Amino acid sequence: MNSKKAEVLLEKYFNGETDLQEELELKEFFDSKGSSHPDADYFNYLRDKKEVTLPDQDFDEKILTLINETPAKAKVRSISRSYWYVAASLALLISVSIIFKNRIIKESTPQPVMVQVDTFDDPEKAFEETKKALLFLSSKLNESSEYATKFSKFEQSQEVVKQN
Amino acid sequence: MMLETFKKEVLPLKNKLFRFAYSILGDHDLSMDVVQETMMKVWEKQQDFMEIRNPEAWCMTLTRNFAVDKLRSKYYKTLELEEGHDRESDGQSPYQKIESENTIELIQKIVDRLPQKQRETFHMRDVEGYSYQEISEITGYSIPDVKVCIFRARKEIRAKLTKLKTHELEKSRSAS
Repeated sequence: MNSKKAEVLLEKYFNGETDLQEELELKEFFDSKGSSHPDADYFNYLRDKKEVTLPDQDFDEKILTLINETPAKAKVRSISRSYWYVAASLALLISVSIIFKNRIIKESTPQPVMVQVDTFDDPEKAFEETKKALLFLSSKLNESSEYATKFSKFEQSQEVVKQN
Repeated sequence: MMLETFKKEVLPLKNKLFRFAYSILGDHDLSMDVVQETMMKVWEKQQDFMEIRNPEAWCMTLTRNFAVDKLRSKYYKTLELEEGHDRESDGQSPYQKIESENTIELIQKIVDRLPQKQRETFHMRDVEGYSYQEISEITGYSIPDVKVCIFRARKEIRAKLTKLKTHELEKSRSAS
């Protein structure tokens, strides 16, 4: 890359308009160019930073020792939560089935219809039959009232005996 | 994850993770602690590791979380006060204070004074070469936010460096 192109890229870079490839080209330009350009220090800084390494040389060893002492945690899958999901789904399924079943039964079963059906075609005959039934009822009532009278007489005589 | 996978895929990230932690914390020891914590977390969560699409980005995210936690912790604040980390209250301007150091160190001082968001995004892009998309995934910032942070960081570093060099030039002229 020549200096002219580098200047154009630099302008783009400091305006935040460069892509990664162009930024890489700029870094390579300054690596080969040396420190004569005013922005060389800036790019030298970026290069130096990239070369920084972890200062602890025994780091790997320390980490591996720690790892050997630390068992890996098995991934905990929330079983209880899964059970809740299954239970909720089942409950929903059962509720929906019951509702549908009831609806189907209701639709297929004939509902009782209240219909008034005449037992007699002739009203005169019906009147006679009703009269007969009521007379039978009144005769039975009279019989029971006779028994009641007898019973009250018995109670009165009992009272007289108690008083004497 | 088998130990071999860990050795092959996770351990080699240690330097990159250290640099990233350092870009946030600016402290060697704390950054080393962060890398260790990250490695142990990865080992503990090895079942997750196998399902992760981009293991390196995941490690970077863990590193960032640990580093930011440390940055917010009381311990770090105490350390900062004890060591006078990046402080400018001793009567000297930042330029006077660092004029005797070499240029790379000067740039480091300028970078250290950038806001954390700018420091970490600038580091990931310009030092490590991550794409805006990757930086967004690691940090959780939006892509436009990442672009703005990097743009501002570059401008700030260049402007301060230019100012500093002009100051040094004027000083050497007046001395001669």
